[in-house]
Amino acid sequence: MIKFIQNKSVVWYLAIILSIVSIFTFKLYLDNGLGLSYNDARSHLDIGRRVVEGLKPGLAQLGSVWLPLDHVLMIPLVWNDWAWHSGFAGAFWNMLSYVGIGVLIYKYLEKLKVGMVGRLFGVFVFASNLNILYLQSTAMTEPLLLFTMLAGCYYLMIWMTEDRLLDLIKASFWVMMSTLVRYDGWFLLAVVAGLVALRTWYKKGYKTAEGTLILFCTVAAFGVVLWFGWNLLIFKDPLYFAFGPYSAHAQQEQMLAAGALPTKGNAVLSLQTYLYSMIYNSIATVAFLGIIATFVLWFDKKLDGAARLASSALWAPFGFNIIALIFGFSVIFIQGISGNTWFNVRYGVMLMPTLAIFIGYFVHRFKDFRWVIIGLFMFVSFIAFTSNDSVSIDDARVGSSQKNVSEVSGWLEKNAKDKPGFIMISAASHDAIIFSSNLPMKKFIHEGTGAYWESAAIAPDRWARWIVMRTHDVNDSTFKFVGVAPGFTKYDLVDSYPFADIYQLRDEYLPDLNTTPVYGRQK
Amino acid sequence: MNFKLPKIVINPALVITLLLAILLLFFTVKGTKKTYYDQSLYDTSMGSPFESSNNSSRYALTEAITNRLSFILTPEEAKFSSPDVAKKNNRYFSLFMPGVSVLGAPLFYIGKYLGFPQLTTYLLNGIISLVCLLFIVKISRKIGANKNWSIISGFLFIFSSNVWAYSLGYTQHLLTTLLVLIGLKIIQNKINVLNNLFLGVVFGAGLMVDLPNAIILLPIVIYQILRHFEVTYKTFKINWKLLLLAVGVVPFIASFIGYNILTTGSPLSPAQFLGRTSDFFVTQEEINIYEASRTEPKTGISLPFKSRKQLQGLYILIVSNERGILYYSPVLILGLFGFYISSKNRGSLSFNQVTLGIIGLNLFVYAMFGDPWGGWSFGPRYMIPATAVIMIYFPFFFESKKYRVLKSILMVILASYSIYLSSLGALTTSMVPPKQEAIYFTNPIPYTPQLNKEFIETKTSSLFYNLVLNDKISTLAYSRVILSLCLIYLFGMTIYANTHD
Repeated sequence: MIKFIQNKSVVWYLAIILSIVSIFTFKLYLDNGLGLSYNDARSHLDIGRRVVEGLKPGLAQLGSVWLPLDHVLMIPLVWNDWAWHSGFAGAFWNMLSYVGIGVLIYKYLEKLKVGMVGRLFGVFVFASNLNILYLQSTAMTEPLLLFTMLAGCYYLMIWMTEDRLLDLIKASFWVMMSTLVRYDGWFLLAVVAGLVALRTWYKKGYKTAEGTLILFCTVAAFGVVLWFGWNLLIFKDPLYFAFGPYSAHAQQEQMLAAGALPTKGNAVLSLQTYLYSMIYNSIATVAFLGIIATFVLWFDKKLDGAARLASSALWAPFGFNIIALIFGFSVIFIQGISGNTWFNVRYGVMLMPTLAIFIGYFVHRFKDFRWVIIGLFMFVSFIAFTSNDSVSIDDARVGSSQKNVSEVSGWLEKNAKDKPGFIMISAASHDAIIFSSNLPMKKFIHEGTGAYWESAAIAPDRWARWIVMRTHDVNDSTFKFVGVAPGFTKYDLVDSYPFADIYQLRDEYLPDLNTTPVYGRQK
Repeated sequence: MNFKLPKIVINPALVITLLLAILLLFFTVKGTKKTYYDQSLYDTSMGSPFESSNNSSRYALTEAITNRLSFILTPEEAKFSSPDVAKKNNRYFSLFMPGVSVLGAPLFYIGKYLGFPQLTTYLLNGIISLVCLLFIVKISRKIGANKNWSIISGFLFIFSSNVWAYSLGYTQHLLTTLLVLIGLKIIQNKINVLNNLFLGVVFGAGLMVDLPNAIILLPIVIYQILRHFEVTYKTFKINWKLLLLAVGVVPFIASFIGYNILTTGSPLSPAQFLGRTSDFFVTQEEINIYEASRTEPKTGISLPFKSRKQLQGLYILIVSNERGILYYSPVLILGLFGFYISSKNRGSLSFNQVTLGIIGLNLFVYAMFGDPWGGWSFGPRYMIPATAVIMIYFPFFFESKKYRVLKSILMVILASYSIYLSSLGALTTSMVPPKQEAIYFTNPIPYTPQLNKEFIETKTSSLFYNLVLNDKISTLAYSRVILSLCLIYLFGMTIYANTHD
């Protein structure tokens, strides 16, 4: 049995087991309807879909709100209606990432010379986390980001301990990939670059450090440069993603004005908020054990100093999130600290692989008590499962990250599905409605449809049979333009819902309405 | 027939410790003139023996068992037990498992004969705490601790923690602790039929005392089971004496099922699963909470534990000034150091693994429980079993002779503070509200030992004081005398332990 387990093929068995768990969990959340609870999950899927289908399909639909890798990866799958509406097109890469992270945790611990029990326990700590299991079943970005970041950290550790150039290039490649998933990757880029410079300078002097750093950054920072270039090319402003009207910055400004950004400028509250977020995502026992384990590893003289230094990169998400909160680039609501709701609490899950690796090492070092630690973890895990303890699901279901648009999307599905005519709607504000309506993307005129949008903004009565918008809200692009258009008087308000109102063109104006795409291929 | 009586060696330090412990418990036994002269009086005022429903519900059940051989409470007893009372098919019964009440029945019976049923019944936990003291000394010695420090450890278990306050009540904590200690003593022995049978009894009895005991005692049972297996690459042997463990448990499982059938009508549904009856609720708030809990939809497995509560629970149970174990008994820190020192000894490794499991489970079970405060209580009452287990290791802090004077000074400081707080609890009340309730009163009251400090300035729950010294000395002076007795012992024993290795 032991021989069997110690066989090299254990990685394959691990991958197979994790794949089965991953598929089972995806199916579970698909069946119970929770898989697409996050408003953002639906938006991610729509972005991918718009690249392959709509009034103006093409790569430009990747936009600037979010970094593009997730949506680019969706393209091979999202053309399929089932893959789009089940969320599989997005979840697929997260499921692969889930398996990949499990394998990487195993390999990372193996490199640290951790025994089989420690390695497998580390993987189990990660893989059995309910928040991770949920997020890998959705079209959110966290699992892919975790995978790319962990892969970067893994190869960095190998490079720092074994000093092979190829490992540095691999590390820089994965860091580059992470910079194309979320801005957390940009922080990791800075941290890893710092570690690379520090290590080389200490070992080989300044000149070599300079060269190594340039080599590393050439690949690792390529994604960042690419993103600036993309924004310049498509939006004529390299910083459009940062300061554009749909950027996180713009949203945070609105929140600041509404007094909903309490962490901005408050380091203590930011630290507290993120710590709580981490603890709620990982369960208190795991978080505390992981923190203790980190210090155990960092101060363990039996371990190579380079490996210890490299492992500090695993804590990069912690630094990033706290800095982002202090500077107001990010917002997290914790129930009990920031009112009575959750928002973005899932960011705390970013430390799960980190905690898993350090805990794996901890049970290896404290062999005498490892079965007690494992037993206690199993007990707490059992309670977590029986009490359905997943803050990420709660955030998606009842927190501020949810958006129940079923009423308005249901109206559209019922009344617009079999009738000719377009629906004018702001994708920036109502992507969830577009997704949930189950209507094809080409039924919608939104900000990304070029000439259709521009024409409908001036003369909506000629282009849109229905208009969906938040009336009197200038942050809704549709209202901003249509609200002042003369043709808007030809519409009746047919229904009003918490997230949007629906206007319908009166029947007498239908003869003048365009109901088929006329612009052909647009640039 | 060659029969030899076992050789009894009297240890003067242990005898003095036991006598002092009995004296201190005697001086702090709860009661007033009213409750002493009218033992049938259901006085639930603060500081009285029936101040908490944890006590009164179990006492009412003891009354029912002794007077009517029944587990069903009369409406009057049910009202007295409220809110810890359940109702089904128009029959009232205690919300708790009957272990404590059954064990207290003989004492009640004796007391009834003598005319002091409340007083004698409440002796149960006092007696158990003294037995626990002896077990701590014995277990500690077995893993290599110094004799005199072990005795101090046993004494501090009772008098430097909230055990003192709960030795004077009628709750389950001390009995649970005793079962844990008996279990630990058993696993220190060799495997034999009797030990296995007895451990089965301990586990089964644990279930009849309090449901979470089935979890807290698990490390002991698992360890004992594993000892019966011999696994190598080539062999796999089982010692079939293992089955005796099951034999010990079976009667209690049968009792558990029988008790549930007699009360809730369902074999696997104890009264706690049924919830409290609202028949005796007085305030609208109580009724609202009750109604809300009834309408809450329940899906899947429904356990009273929530892992999300763990963060708050750990804070409350470890460091908070409401119920933090290290806040109320900082002397336990030395016990934790002792655990670390003891763990370097490979000989007691397996034992230490079990004890760590018990401490961890005790902490986690109640940290994930919705109410880690234990309602209105004094100190972390749920942590009493862990307190006993930690105190087993207290002597190891003094194992090395290095810095012994400094270590002794540190110990005396920490222990004195712990004893001071414990004496406040023992001499006043165990009804300290959680912060979340205390601050919302029209006239907020303290939610820390401050409440006990204010109480002792004018009143005490000590029966001895209330009967004998009431008009002779102040309550504050009385508390100082009690504290002084403890401190004199502590100084004396510390010097004795340091000079008699």
